[in-house]
Amino acid sequence: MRLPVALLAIACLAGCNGSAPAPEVPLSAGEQAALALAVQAQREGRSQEVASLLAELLARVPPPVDAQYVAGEAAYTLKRHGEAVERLTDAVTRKPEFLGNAATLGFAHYQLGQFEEAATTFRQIVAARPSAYKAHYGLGLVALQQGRLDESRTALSEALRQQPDYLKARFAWGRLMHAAGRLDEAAEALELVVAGWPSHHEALFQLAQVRAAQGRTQEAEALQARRALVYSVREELAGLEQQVLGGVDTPITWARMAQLLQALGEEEDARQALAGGRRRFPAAPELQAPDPAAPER
Amino acid sequence: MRRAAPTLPLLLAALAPACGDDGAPSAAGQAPFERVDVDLAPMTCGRDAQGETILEVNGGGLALFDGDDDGDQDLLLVIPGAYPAREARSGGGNRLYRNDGGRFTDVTAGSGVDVPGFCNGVAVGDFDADGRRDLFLTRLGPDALLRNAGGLRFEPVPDAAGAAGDAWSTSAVFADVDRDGDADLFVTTYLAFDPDDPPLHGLEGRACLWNGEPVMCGPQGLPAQADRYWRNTGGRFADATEAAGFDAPPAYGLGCIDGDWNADGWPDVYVSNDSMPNALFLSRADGTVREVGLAAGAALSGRGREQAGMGIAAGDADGDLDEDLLVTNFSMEPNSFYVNQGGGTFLDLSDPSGLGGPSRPLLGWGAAFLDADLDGDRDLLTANGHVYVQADRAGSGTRWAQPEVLYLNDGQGRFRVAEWPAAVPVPGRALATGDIDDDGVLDVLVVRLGQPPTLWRGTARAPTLVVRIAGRPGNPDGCGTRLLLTDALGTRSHQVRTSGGYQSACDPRAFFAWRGAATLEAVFPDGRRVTRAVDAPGRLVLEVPAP
Repeated sequence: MRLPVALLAIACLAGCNGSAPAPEVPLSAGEQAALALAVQAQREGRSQEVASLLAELLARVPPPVDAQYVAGEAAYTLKRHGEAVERLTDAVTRKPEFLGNAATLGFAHYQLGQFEEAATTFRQIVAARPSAYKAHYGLGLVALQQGRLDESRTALSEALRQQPDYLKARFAWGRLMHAAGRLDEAAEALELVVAGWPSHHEALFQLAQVRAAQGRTQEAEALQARRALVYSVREELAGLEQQVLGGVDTPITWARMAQLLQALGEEEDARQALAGGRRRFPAAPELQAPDPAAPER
Repeated sequence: MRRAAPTLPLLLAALAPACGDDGAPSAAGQAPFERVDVDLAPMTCGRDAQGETILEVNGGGLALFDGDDDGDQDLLLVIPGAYPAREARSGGGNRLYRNDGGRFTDVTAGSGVDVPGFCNGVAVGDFDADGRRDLFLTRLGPDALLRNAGGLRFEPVPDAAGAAGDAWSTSAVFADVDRDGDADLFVTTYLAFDPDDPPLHGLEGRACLWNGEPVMCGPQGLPAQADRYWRNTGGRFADATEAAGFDAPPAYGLGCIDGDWNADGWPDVYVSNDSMPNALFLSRADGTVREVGLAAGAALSGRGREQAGMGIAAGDADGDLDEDLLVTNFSMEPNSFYVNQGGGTFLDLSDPSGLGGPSRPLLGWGAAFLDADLDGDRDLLTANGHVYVQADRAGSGTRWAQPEVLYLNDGQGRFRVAEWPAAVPVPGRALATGDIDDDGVLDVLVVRLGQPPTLWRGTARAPTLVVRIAGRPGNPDGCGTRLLLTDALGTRSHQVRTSGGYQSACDPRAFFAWRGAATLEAVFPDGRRVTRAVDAPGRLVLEVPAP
């Protein structure tokens, strides 16, 4: 399981690469420890714990910029997009060197329907760090949604040139090709996405649409059936995830998540589920089964 | 292969990126509506206006209909009332108002509309073919059918003439699906809910979270219910759900509307489902239908995502003479604008049309296409309001009370938000359009949870042509008639219907902005056509000829 750029940036706040930005106001040892714990929580997907870990720091006026950044990333993960925009905007304003890794800010604007602000943010990121492939992807996504296909093509091409295996961008590329009527190229891209991300039900849907347009009806129907199956499994997974986020999970919650993820072909995530469950319930017999095999991707 | 999902708990969030949409919601001008003070009953729905359970957040519907056949639009407010606890299942909150020259007079007492039960929505139709508009009320539990006895008095029909069912039904529509001349009935249903054993809240037993906040549970995790189609057999209904092809898998249905999207002259039905694929029942031109939502591109968002469908609007928004569909969705999901490509296949153009972006922070309910500014094209009005009071917590990006939004059409199917005259957002729910003051311009009534509905009077001032279809017994409003007006602007179309898309019924008349001498063609439900030259604006009645 690999970390996206935004989380790697967070990880760097905790000291990786020796390039951790200095806080504006000196933090006490305890506060630094809290910040490190928050970064760790966000890295491990425990975003709901970040706000409480940073409560004292965020109560400062103004909050330390590093804490704002981590809290903004966590807010985005928890779909608190308004808060994410507020905190990340503050963070990158006060510490412009964050901008290169602030794609989340663009995506938060995007989620709120603030497309001009999203595009502006992505452009600023690209200007600050031309290798920010997520920002190129963001630019391509906004343009695609607005029907500006040429502009989308340019941005997505750059994102995929930088990261050919970035499946979100590949999915957007498939949609772009579909919108442009280039069905063979759309199918090629979407096949790559569903091969690398078997539970991507939207890609299954898009691919089904493309196959139907190509007259490959049976294939289209099979893809739609697979999409429906994936979606129903995801529904159950969503309920289990809610239990984890709400702290009312049991060993069975984690075991079932692993089982469902394996059924979806998400072997690595299944392994993570078992590992996560074992961290939380070390003695639970339900979680002692051997890990599913690691995927070959 | 590399992917963006970093850790397991992030998986689903990463898998579910939202659709995007069009540019900033810059105002395109003032919305041509003004608020009118009216004395209407508040929309009580459960224990308080903030909803402890999913039963208490949808609100009730309303109907604008000519209940006394005097030519104006009377009003039924469907008011669910108190929470249907075991000790107090009385219901009886519905209110009937007679239209007296554009003002509403409460005539509930003795009218018979204040039936027991937790009522949700309403459909208007003439089930017994006596020429009067009857009322079908959806409820939690068996539905109610009220026969119009004349003089705004209604009588309950035992067992709803066979169509009572026993589900939590939300929206319904009368339509002559088999074209035998009487009003069949389609009822959409939501989920299994026992008021004596409601789903737990937040973290009680199972986790129900939204944005990390404990919230009421549902619909996910609760058993969905199956919609029902009731065939009219001489004033009695028979369950023909399976026989007619309406037996789609159970789903969280909230809205439904009739139309003719495949242009075969037979009624189709579209259903908005909450958090599940929407359903499109296209006719097979033989009295049966088949569900084709997925294949037709009208079930999911354009990128293939199930959204939380609430209300529906139908109308020719892009001016190509077929009807398009608009589905309102949950917050952080754009409204879905399904543009008919002809023959009943659709493309979701929410984003390029400009309807996506501004709708993203909103949770939409009732919706209607109408020519609000009388420039000859269909604008869009939506009522909005969140189901979670937790939406008001800082940082959510949305709010519990939300404004109505009018999207003005530029004539090419691109929309911009108009400045709405209301200063205070409201917890909006259902809406119904109708010309309440009979001035030739559509007005709008918007349900507000916990408060009386708001009446918005249309203030656009330009000549209009108002066309009423004088139908036959069984279909007094001529629902299913297609009107085509050709004038200096070109040709515009209108599909006659009473169904309002979300728990409501609306004025079935057609309102055309007047652009000079015109030709009006009517295609009646049985396929016969009438063409009439129209030389002046005003009111026009077209009678459906006898068979």
